[in-house]
Amino acid sequence: MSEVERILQNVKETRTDYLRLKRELSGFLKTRLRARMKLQFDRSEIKSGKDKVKNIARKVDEAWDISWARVVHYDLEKDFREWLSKIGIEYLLYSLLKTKDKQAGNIFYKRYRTAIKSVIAHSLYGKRGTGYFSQRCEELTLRTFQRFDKYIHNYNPYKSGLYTYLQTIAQNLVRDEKARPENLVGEFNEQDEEQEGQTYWALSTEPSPDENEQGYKLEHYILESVLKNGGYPWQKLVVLLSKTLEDREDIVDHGGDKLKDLAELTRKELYVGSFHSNEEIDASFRYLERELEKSLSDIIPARDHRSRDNLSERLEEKTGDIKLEVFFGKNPRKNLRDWNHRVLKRIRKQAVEDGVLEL
Amino acid sequence: MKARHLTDKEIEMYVDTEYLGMADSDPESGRLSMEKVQAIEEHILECEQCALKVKKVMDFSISFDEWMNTSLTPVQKTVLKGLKEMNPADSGLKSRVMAWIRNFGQSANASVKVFFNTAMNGASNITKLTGDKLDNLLNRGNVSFQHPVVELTTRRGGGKGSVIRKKLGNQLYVMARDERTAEIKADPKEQKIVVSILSGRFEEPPIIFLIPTDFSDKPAMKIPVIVDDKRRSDTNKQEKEMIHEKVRMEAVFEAVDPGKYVLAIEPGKM
Repeated sequence: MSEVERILQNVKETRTDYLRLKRELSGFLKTRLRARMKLQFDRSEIKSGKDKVKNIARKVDEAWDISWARVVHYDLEKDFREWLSKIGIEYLLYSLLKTKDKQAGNIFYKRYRTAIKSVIAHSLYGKRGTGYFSQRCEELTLRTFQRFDKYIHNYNPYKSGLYTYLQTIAQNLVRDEKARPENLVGEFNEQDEEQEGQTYWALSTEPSPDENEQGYKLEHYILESVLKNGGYPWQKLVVLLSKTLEDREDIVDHGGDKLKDLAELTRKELYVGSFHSNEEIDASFRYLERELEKSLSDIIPARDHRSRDNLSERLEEKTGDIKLEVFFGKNPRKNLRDWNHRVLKRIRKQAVEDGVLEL
Repeated sequence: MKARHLTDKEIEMYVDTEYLGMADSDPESGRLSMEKVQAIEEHILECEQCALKVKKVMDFSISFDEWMNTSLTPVQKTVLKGLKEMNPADSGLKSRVMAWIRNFGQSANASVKVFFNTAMNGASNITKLTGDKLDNLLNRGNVSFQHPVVELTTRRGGGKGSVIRKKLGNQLYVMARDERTAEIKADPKEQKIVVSILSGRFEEPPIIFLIPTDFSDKPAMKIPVIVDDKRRSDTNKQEKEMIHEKVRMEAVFEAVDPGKYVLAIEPGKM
């Protein structure tokens, strides 16, 4: 047997083994896609009954083929089923996006918007933190998704994931933007004259007064709940900074700022970036202000031994005078993600208690 | 999965693992194993009660995530700051401004950037109006803007004239549901910005603000009033063509200083 024949024989045997794995796990992927359809795409224009079952079965088969084509990228240390699920769910999303499903478009945009905006902010020239820079990032982010809509048929799921394709589009747009002559205007962008199409999924409908009122109340509830029940002051501040700063990555740059200064910064940002009156914002901030006046030992309860041990030398200091970086561990970015998540869990729990979230 | 219903904790962990991608970095909650995820999803497919609960937790969690990620554009921030600074004495107007602020995030948002006799891209004495590009991209609200286009004939070397089309940068048509409802014109010679409402189908005319972007001056507020068409008999032919008999109401900002402004039109009135 020649070398080539031996290699091909090995490939055939591996393929047979992979198909055996598919038979063993086909129920798993089917459940995953069916649940996703039920929970996330319930309003999508999907076929019902027998067609729906057949539709899912086809998606499962296709997802397995895609996974085979991309198996060289699979990291053996990761859970295979998790990797396979990701491919299957992405393929389901892609199939719906191809049909211009509005709900899928919204989910897709919300899921990747922050990450793509961050990619753009890191590659674009300009002074970070200015309104003009932020506006350009926002515009390029939107255009990335528009271009995705336009060229969706060029995307090949057998080659890469949706995020990689979006990243490529974003980087191309940034490259084009860099090639343009420097714009001398600070606040406004002269390129505004360009005629842009609108994304089908972003076409808004005028909300009813009731919907407006409901949205306003939920916003206010979240802001107040974060400030009152969000957890430790530095965790709440990170959530508020995530909301008010243009890029979450910038929060780490504020590590050298005292908590009381960060509270002031976020409050001022909310004055200009929130729909609530300044008096309402001040009232919501009062609880945080009182906490920042207390010593750290009064803030960290005795049962939280780990935090007390880590901050033992600072316990007598006034909380507001301590710099944010003191609370960071070895990996500040991981801390930020964890704190955001913890705050969400606390306000979600509170929402159940307050009857805002009825389970 | 056992026949028992999912616990609140299981639902929250499932949502965080699968829909928010947060749990993998949180040592407190851990991350649900794929076996557990599969078992939960098998239950959800059969149990409508638990599926409904999962959706509710998902919606609330996503609302929080959206709240964190929603930020205003610079133009929107200018408008919001301007609105907050306005404190009309009239209680009716005050409540309209308050409603505008409260509905800002959800409702239509018609704002125009105004360069009034000012420097722009290195050139001086520029007067120009533009709609907010982000609003246009997202089509927030039902209002969009278009520049009027005029045709000019050029003659070179005494030959036959060629026609070129030119956008009038200092004028804008306000379009609502594909219909022209208003026109805005910035006139640097007269130091005026005029907003002409073309249709008479409004219950009440919108409040219009002119907000200096550097807040060097207080925002100016106007409500269009019905104008006497005879008064306009001195307008030139082109203007007449644009405005003609449709004009019912007009808001005029006079003695406008050179600078950059945002012109904001009360939503829901166009």
